[in-house]
Amino acid sequence: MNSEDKISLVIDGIRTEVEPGATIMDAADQVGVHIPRLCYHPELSILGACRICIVELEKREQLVASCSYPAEEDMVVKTSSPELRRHRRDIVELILDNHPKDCQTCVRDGNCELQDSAYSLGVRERLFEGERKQYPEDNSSPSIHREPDKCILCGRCVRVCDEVQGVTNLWQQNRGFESVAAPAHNADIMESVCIHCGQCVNVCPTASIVENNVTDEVFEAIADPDLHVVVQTAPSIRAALGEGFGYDPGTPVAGKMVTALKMMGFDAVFDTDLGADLTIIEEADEFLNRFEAGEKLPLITSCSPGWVSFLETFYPELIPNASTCKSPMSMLSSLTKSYYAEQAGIAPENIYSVAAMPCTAKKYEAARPEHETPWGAPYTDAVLTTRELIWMCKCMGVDFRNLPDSQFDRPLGTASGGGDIFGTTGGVTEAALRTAYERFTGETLTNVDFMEVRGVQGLREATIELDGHNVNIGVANGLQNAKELFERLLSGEKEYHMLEIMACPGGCVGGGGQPYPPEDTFALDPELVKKRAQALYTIDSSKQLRKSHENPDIKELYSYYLGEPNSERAHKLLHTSYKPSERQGIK
Amino acid sequence: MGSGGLVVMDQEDCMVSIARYFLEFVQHESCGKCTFCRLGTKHMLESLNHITRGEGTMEDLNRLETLAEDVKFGSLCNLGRTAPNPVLTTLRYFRDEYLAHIEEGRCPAGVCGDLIRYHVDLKKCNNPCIGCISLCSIHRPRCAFASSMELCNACLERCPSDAIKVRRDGKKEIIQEKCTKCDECRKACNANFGAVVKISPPAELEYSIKQ
Ligand code: SF4
Ligand code: SF4
Ligand code: SF4
Ligand code: FES
Repeated sequence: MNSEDKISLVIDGIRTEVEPGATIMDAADQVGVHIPRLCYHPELSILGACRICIVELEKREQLVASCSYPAEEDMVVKTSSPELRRHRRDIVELILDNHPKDCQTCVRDGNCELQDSAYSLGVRERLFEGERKQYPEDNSSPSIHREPDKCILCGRCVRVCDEVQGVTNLWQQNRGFESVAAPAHNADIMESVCIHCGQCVNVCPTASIVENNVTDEVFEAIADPDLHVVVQTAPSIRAALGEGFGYDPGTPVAGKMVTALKMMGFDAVFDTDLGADLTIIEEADEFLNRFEAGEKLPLITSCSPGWVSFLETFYPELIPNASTCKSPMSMLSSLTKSYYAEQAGIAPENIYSVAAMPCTAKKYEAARPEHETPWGAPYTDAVLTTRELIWMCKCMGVDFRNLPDSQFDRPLGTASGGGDIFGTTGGVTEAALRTAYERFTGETLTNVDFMEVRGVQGLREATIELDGHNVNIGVANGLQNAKELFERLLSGEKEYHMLEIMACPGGCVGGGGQPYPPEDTFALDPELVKKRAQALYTIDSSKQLRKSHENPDIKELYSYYLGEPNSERAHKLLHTSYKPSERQGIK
Repeated sequence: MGSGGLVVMDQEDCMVSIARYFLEFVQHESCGKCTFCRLGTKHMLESLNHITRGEGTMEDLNRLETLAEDVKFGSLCNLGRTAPNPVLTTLRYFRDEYLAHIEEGRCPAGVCGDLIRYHVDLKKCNNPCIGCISLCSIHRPRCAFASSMELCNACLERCPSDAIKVRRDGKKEIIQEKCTKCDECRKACNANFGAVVKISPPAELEYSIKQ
């Protein structure tokens, strides 16, 4: 576009040019003026609700919200003045005065956008104290915990649930002072169509929506001398955990993480990536069987529990297509309380199995009745998000940055590069292809990098040739994109053989349990997600062992314990089933 | 009054009460989306509540003015932008009324219930002295004087809360604890005698404002 089409305007005395359609805020960002903002989120639609971003325009009495007001030719904008600062200060104070005075005991203390705004906009005294809204907390879900009293009505959760996830579970309920963001009819999360993905947690600026915190239970289990406490860590955690300790996004910290977990008192540290390898082997086998028989295609991956809930709630007709493989976490937990217990000579009832996951939906998955042991306990006793793990490290005084590296414990600690890349969108497909290729053709795959399926775009398609057969693959992350894929599939517009669905944007690296982003980035930031994903690809390419089926620990596992992929024992321990949800959602 | 409508009022209308009324209306109308309208108008209403209840301070007045400007200039839609107008206009033209409420505990129009007291002016209460009748225990049934008396009970009959008692001398008196300030007695008496008056501030008799 040449400069004639551009819009030229003046921000605080600086003339600048922007593309048509840009807002005043975009223009200000461009000249290095950071207008304060709360409800604005770069990846979501514009709401213009909080009004913190108001600016003055020359020759106009009314102030305008810069996040939503389009830049106009020769506009003269003032982003700061005593009046503007007072208005902004008053907004934050109005919000604070309708907010519990809880900062010191709040999970987001020190990591809260409302606190930050109050500090930076200079709220130093309370002028407007009065009535506060009061709503009961919502503890119904194993994943999501809501404290509506802390809701500041920024509408980010509403928008992410609708625009990114296509679930549209949250909305502004009631009117005026009574307003609150909640599921329809102010229902509890468990009565709603929520799929527990936790994206609302990621974008909420306050502690109004957070994960259901289980750190106390885990601390207790560690302290219990009768329990053998085992922890497993998901692929994408090692790419994000460092952010909690000041590392740049995308710094892999697997070695330090293992050391930290051992210091914290976990008796064994296993690698979920091995579970991912196992998933690949079982799933590749399942795929090849279906592919040869030409039935129940496309095979749809089932490792993302948010997606599984979405399937059961919104697309029950696709349940037969979903892979029956448990997720890597659940596979590893099953093996911990069977294979590992047997090998280590520990009664499985005395094993407490913790999973550190980038995901809130994993908490829901762990609590599903299908994942219960024959003696009634869950296979996965507790799921911690990356955030909870960071906090536990800090709470226990682990000096993370100065830790040496350690190795995962055997027999469930070796993983191939295929297992590592499970944590990013496209990774499951790529790992599956590495294994399926060799299984199908009987040849050795020399170039294991399937660049066709990499990337962070929400929706990707690729056709891979397997021994003269074309395999059509669809990859979606973020359920709004998955919806589009299903529309293509169900309308018959496109034929697929395999679909990889991950509920969260970018895959697990952008999961609902990942750290609140460091400064200069934001939740859902494609750049942030890309950096974390890159860390996984780097781990993968630095390994000799790239293919899941070559993993020596897994070979051992099959030869001593499971037999063949899809054997009876494998089926009992590694596969699961799905059923339509009682709460059917409207697509 | 914000909506562009015109409302005609006289001295019997309290400007602070009127502003309060409009802001209460806004509470029902606000959709709740933007901060200023959702929370700003709520706090303005709270300040006005303080003032009309006689609990107002100069701080309330300041925050009312501050928020009125915030809400007017910063709100998202015209509901919020015009919501503070009744406050801003009354503050501009009737600031003395606000000050009377805050500084003297007085409602000049005699509207704000917490700032007024109903009182029977004994000089005007039309009942003659019936002290003898109330004292005489012997002859009452046959006393020609007593049976010829026509006592006025207009206020007493109209009072819904049993707050008016007959004094020994036949005149009426209002039991303050029971009075709900419904204005019925005053209306009943006003037509003929105008003996019931509102006093603001309630403690002081000198400030009789209206008959
Ligand atoms: S959400 Fe933020 S402002 Fe609210 S109590 Fe927690 S830390 Fe404080
Ligand atoms: S967890 Fe996901 S589905 Fe549930 S309300 Fe939040 S964004 Fe929506
Ligand atoms: S719950 Fe959080 S994200 Fe949702 S509207 Fe309230 S403050 Fe915003
Ligand atoms: S950031 Fe512009 S109105 Fe909230």
